[in-house]
Amino acid sequence: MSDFLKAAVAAVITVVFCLIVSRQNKEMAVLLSLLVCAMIAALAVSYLSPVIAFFEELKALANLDSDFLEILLKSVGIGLLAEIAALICSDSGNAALAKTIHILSVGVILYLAIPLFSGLMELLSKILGGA
Amino acid sequence: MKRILFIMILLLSMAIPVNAMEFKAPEVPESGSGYLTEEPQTFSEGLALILKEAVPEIKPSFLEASTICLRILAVALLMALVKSLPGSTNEILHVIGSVSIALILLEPSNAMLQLAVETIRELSDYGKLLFPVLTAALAAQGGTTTSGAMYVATAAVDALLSSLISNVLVPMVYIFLCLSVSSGAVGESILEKLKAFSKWIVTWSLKIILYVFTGYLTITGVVSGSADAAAVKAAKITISGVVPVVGSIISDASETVLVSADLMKNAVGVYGMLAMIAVWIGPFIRIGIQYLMLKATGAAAEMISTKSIGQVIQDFSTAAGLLLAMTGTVCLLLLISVICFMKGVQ
Repeated sequence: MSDFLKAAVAAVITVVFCLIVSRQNKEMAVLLSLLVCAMIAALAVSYLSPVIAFFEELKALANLDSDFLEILLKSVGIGLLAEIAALICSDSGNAALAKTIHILSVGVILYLAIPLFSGLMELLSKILGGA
Repeated sequence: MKRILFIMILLLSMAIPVNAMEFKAPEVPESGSGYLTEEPQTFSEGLALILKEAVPEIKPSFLEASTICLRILAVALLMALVKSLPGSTNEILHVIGSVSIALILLEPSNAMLQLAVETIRELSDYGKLLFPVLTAALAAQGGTTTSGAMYVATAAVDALLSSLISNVLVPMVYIFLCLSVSSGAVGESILEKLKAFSKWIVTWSLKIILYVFTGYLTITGVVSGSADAAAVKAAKITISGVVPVVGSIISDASETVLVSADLMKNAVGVYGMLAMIAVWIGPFIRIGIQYLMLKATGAAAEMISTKSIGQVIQDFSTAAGLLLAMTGTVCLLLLISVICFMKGVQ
């Protein structure tokens, strides 16, 4: 809770600093914003590691395929990272870059999910073949 | 000479072996034999025996369903992480979430569908063996019109329902599941409507067949039952009136024969009903537990994850509910038929 409070306060202070700094040096404001975003993301990752450990437990308990869970975790991670990157790009006035990041993330997630789609197709053809 | 010839013919006819007609219910099919291990004396005793044997089945079915639900919950939790994301990333992750849930649930759902089809086939096959015996027993009791009418109706509706379930309703459930996964992934309202339509077809087909069948049996039972009762009564009066001296004795003896036939018919009917319940109870427990567990998981997933993911899980539980309805309808239809045969000529 205290970590979250610190992060929230840091974010608000950074916004104020960025507003002041951006009048003289816009590049510095973007860099400052990027730095604080990275710090908050690192904090979020430290909180996510027990969640991932819980998933590992769940995986063992439910006999879940590791490849399957790995694909899902990677997709979720890429989605989150892409969103943060796109927001930073938008804040610094690069809407085109933000959009490109979104397109890239969708492409990468689809690429990662190919085994899931082919697994589903295989399963469907097996079921329809047997029906 | 004529007298000697007559006596010889009489003696020869007496030498022919004659047995009383015996009506015996067919053996319980293999899938139900584990539940009806011994021959019960009464219906309630048989039912208690089936339930006693069926209760230990709950735990393995529950464990199997729990494993599946834990897998779904893992996916739902992961999807909860991206719940707040806006835009295209969120949409593609939803597609992947729905596909993952389909991958987890399609195989067990397919196994349940095959189990339901197999159970319906076994129930239908058992009915094909049981109903001729019940028809003969009912005819021996004097219900010639009733037995014929009921046998024709039962055989026709049973064949129609089995064929309808295998060729139309089960493929409809597959379509329902595919539409559910697609609408969960894409979120198109037309897919939602098609999904609701396929469910409507399955439920209403079952309802209409059951209504028509029970209605037909009720009317047949009232009309031909009264006709048969009148015919039996007329025959008794004729015998006691036409045959001098011993007419009333023959009439009373025929009453005893009819009562015996009734007892045998009821014994066959009770055993037949228990056999049908024994075939049905195992799949009912397995599909029923999966249905309940998926319902609970769907509600939990809807709470922690997104509505669409929860809806996909709920749809899979609905499919299990449809399978319960199909097996239940066939079993109920056959049980009603047996009861109608047992009611016989009043």
